[in-house]
Amino acid sequence: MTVEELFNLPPWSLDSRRKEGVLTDLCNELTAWHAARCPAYRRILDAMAPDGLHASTLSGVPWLPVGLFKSHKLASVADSEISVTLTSSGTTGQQPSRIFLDRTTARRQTLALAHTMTGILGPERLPMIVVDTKSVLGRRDEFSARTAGVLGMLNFGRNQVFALNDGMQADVAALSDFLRRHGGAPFFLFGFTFIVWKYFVPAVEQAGLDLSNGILVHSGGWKRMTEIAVGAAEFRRRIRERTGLRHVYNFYGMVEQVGGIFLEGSDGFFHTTNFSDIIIRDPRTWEPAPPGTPGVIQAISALPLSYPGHSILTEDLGVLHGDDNPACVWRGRCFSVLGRVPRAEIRGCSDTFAQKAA
Amino acid sequence: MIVEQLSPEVAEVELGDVTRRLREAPVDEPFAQSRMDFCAALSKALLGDAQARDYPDLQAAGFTMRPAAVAQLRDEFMRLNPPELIALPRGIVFHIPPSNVGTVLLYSWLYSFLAGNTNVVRAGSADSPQVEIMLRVLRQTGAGATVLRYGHDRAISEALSAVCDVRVIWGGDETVSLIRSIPLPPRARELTFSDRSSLAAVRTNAWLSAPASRRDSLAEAFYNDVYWFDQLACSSPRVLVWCGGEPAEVDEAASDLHERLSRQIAGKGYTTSTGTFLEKTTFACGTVIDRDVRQYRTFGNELTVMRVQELCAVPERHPGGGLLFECAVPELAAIAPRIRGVHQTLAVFGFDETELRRFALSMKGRGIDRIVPIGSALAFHHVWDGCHLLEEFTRRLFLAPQTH
Repeated sequence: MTVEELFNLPPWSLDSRRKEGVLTDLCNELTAWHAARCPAYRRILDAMAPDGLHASTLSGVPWLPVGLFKSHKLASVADSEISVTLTSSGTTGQQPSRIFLDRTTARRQTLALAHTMTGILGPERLPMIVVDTKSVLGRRDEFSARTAGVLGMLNFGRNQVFALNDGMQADVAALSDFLRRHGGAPFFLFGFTFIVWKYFVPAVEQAGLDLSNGILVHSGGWKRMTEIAVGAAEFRRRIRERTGLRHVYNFYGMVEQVGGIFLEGSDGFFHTTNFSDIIIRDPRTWEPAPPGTPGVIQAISALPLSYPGHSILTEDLGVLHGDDNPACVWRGRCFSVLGRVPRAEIRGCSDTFAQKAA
Repeated sequence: MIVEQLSPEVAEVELGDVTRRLREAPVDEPFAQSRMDFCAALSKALLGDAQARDYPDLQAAGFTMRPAAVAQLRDEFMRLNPPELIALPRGIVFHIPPSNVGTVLLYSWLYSFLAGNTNVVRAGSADSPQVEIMLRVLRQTGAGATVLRYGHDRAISEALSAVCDVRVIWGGDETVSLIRSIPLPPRARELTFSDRSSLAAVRTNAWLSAPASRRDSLAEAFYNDVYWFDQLACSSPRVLVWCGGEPAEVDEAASDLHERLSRQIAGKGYTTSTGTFLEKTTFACGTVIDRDVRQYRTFGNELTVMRVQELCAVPERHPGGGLLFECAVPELAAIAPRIRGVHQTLAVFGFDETELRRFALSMKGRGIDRIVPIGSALAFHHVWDGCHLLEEFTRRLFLAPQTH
């Protein structure tokens, strides 16, 4: 099956067994594709995964650590072919990831997102509330993850209104006006998890706005959410209580992986789409961990052609719940994200004084 | 300005009072009996302390301060001085030890204290349990040092620098540059210990001909060198150089060492955190892209081995946590041209002293300050980074022979 054929199926339609075979074939093709076009990737394969070109199962497809996209430029196309460079927001002081897209891969990214979003929003564009400030659209030459996220989502809405002003305060007048015109039928909301929680929900509750026809997609920033200790289930419950929002979809993905788009189903778990998958790896043996056993998330996508990002070992911890959950209409492997792998502490006679002094 | 004092007693003190007290404190002649007695008491306290006993590095420091060891040090020091040179303390020594290798604080202070100086030490804000234990034992023993705890307060470093005769800055190039920008009095001196990296060398045939039990004890010794400070100390070996032997012999010896080392790691229960392993793997991938890496092997999360063709293919940065670079050369002398100033310790097995002496001279001063047996890479010595600390902490009064 080709990627194009996958796009013709509904996003969560293949059962896991079928998908395993389809994705293994597609990933083997991609491994060979990148090995032939990205010398850096070839060197890693030769040294670290000499058998990686012919994986017999999806878990045998070689992975790259996500941090490598921060330290090295990895591209499988000539510089002249690169049409967009994505960068991760990154933590302060850290180098951001740089992801190089050519036209084909950028188009695949757009298609994949549209394909997945249609699965929850329906084929029509809905009126949309962007839970962010208009100024986030600022720079367009090199996208931050936040800008790219908002820009990508704008296409799935119409009559967009931005919910926050530059001071991150809710524009209650604009929201009331929007709801008066569109609140009686399904409408779309998108924002980053932390921004939705901290700046939007309290203002909506205080103003007594009714969002019960809304479909909220939120993403990113679980790291900051764990700081204030709000779990996924509690997030959903409290949003529903405070704003009436019943359809809340968390979105897991990373700038490093085009097509790795994982949405929360009605069961509260993230589901993999037909063209993406997840393997949870035991952090001691690095073998796939069984359902229920937490481990490091490996993300797989059949889409990236312009850079070797089809199989990435993330720095996130997750847990698999199983394949094709019968309690949910969505097929595919389902999982939860548990947070980040704790960063290594600094030891040894290094620059601890300077780090503090800087 | 108020500053937190941890020794001689825990108190909030006025910085002006600290500097006044430092200036008024008496210095002693080197190896004054009172100071040797203090070390003896501190040694006894460290070796007998229930908490300190959990830390091998604190126990090693306790042994260094035993009366017999100190007496030996004194005799060695006295031999350095002919009759016309009288060794005297320099005055006030301001120590800035690294925050995390706690015992360096103790050694830096010890040699200066024995030299007869008045000492003031900066303790960082996020120190290790070792430092806390050390300071408690020091307080219980008596008034041997003024220890101040402060973060990145430049004003405090300026005030202490203004009164000191010697300033000692331990490690991290950034720390050295930062502190160096603070002026010293015209006659004051400065000792700096910058970022270093270290190696090990084994004669292939010596390894292969050693009995199995000896290879196990060497693997344990090497484990200590590599893993005690998570391979992040300046003296932790990052590179292992196999000297001599046919390629097949090198492979055999290397595989044997990897297996024995892995068993040591397992036996000691050492674990590399997932975060460190991911960092290490990312670093290894980057190195494969940038350098000429011939072989990559992992033994669990704790040991990653990368064979490179030449010593110069080893990157400058290192993530620690058990990443060992290996290369093979026909003889030890072959690495001499690749040795640079940054190289500090060479831990060795299987060479005779003549060969090591010849090797030391052949580097022509480019690098390597210590050649020690495998297992002693982290052992502190009063000659460190090429400096004889007792000499640095004293000055020489020249007394011309009197003629009548």
